[in-house]
Amino acid sequence: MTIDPSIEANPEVRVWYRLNTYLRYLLFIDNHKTMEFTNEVQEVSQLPHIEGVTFTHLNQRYRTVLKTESLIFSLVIWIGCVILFYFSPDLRTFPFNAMVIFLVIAITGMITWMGFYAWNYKGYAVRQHDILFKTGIFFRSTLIVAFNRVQHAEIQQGPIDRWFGLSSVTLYTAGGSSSDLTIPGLSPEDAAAIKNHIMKKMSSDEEE
Amino acid sequence: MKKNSFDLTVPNRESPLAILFILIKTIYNIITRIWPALLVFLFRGKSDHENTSYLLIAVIVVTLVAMIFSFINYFKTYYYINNNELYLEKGVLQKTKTNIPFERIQSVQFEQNIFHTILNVVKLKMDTAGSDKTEIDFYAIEKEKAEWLRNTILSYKEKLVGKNETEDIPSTQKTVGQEIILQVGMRDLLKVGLTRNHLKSGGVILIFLAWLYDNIKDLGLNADEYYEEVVAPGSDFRFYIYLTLIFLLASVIISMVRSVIAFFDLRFIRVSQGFHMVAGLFTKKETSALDQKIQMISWSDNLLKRQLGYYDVRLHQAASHEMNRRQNPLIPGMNTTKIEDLCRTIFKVRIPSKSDGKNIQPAYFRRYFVILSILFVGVVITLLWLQIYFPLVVLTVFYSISVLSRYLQYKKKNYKIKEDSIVIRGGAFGEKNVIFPVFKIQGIEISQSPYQRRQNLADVAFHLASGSVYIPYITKQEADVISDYCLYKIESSSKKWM
Repeated sequence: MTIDPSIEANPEVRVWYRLNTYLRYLLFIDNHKTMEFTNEVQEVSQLPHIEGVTFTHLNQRYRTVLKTESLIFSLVIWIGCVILFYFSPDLRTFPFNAMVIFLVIAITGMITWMGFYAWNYKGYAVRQHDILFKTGIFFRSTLIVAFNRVQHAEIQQGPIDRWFGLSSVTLYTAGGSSSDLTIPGLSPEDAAAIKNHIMKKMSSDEEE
Repeated sequence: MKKNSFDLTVPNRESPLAILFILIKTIYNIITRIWPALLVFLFRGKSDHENTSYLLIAVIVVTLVAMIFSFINYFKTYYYINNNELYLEKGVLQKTKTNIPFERIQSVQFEQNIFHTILNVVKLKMDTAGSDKTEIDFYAIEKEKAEWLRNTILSYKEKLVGKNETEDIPSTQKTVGQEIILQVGMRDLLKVGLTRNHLKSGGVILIFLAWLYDNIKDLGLNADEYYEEVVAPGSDFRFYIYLTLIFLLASVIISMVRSVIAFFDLRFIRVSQGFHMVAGLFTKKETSALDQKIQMISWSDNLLKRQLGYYDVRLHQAASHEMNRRQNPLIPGMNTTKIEDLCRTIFKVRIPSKSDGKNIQPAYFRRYFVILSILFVGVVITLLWLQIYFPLVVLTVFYSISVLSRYLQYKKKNYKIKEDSIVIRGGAFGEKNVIFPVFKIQGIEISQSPYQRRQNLADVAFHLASGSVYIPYITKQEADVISDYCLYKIESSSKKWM
């Protein structure tokens, strides 16, 4: 079994280059600069080559979804707060009501703010051998899953997704829920394209 | 294969003795659930006679129903093998028929408690890859049938492995050659017991006492009164010293007893393409694992174990559940050379020495120290202001231990990315090490907190089929380089990770 020849145009050269850079890494020679590993970004629709990893934003409609969700969630918290006040008269007295309201304002404000900006920090990149997904406003994380480690892929569409005409793709790996990669907020075409691309990759891996 | 007195290609039932075990289990389950009620019943006063007799009737009804179910369960469960698949038929009203191809069976476990041993049957458990539901669990199967089943499955899987990877499997190894890697005698066992984590045993005692205290209260006895009777009159300093000594002694003894029960007559055996571990005093537990299923090896010690050079080794196998992950065999009393050998046989890699590795960034300690100190000072000031002094002592102790252990963790955290494997060392007071081959990584995650982002630091998580491993607080560039390299290794590797 070898690396897919169509992807590795000149495998020998690449392997030697990598070995060389890796040796430098092992020997702690200019550690932070080297270790280039070519893995060009591929666009979902045409899969052309792009220099460096540029993340694709999720569908614009998903921004609306995030905003709506955060507003609904805040609303639910406010309703809960009102119910709490209704049933416990003690809370309505001065120091407590101010505390509770302050807390609720802080929490819902945070949630809404995050809902309005979360979209900007989410993105995915499909590369030749793997897929990346980044998320998080404060605590940012990027999860990378190689196609030859994907167990199966699934397109999902919840009720809200259906309303907005969106889909999400989930890639299941053997690493458990922590390394299952879900890309939400994709147009159904993009979702299908990503899934098909991955399925193709998976089957070509198996053939080898 | 030698001629057998049985035929597993036609539907077989479990051993009739299974009824007995199902029954024992059901009754045991019921009793453990309702025993406080039973106690109340036994110690009841005359006044609440009626309530408790209803209770008794309920218990009897439940038991009867459980008995009937276990009978039906027994008579309607069949298993047989056909065309290298294991079939299982179950159910009365809703019949289910499951077939599991041998290659999907990941491990075959035998368990024998005293009754099983006397009756010459085994409890058989099979773990399958992927799906959560089709885990096979037999209560009692005749020992020879079980052994035949296991041999058939394992030899089939070996053949399959041989077909896929012809490289490094000498054909002479085909026969089930057994090599004992570790055998723990009584003396070693006591040493293992002595060096266990006694704090844990102490915790067990404390939990037991708390539970006892609670239940005594339920029975209507006032434990507090007794406490005053016993302690109050002569409550001098010596009493507490004795109490502490007794507690410590009890902790050590409990550790020893636990070790003996769990690891009695431990044998860790190398069989072709896998490992067997047999151990246990009352319940002989037998676990087997195939090399390919092992995702990482971890070994750890504590302050006591270090004196003897003992390590607890865990072979982490691929599992779909968090629960299953905890069932990985733990092998106590291993030394460094044995661990080296283990890594060489399973992963075909050598463990790099500690000095080879790189340390993490000091921010790992500094950040924690600053945050914890701010919190600590804040709480201390509040407590002083409120003039509460006792929690201060506890808090100070807790604070110092936390800071010290974080510092030790920072000092010990050490990682090395070798050509084919990654070693991460760590631990606070003891040592905790883990090694895994790069190609078994399922996913890589780089994450940054706001602070880490400002400092250009990152955490790297390696998600494996047996759990996740982290390298915290390294520079972002380093994290990128590591993940680039690992991804390259994963993507260019054609080896099967399982």
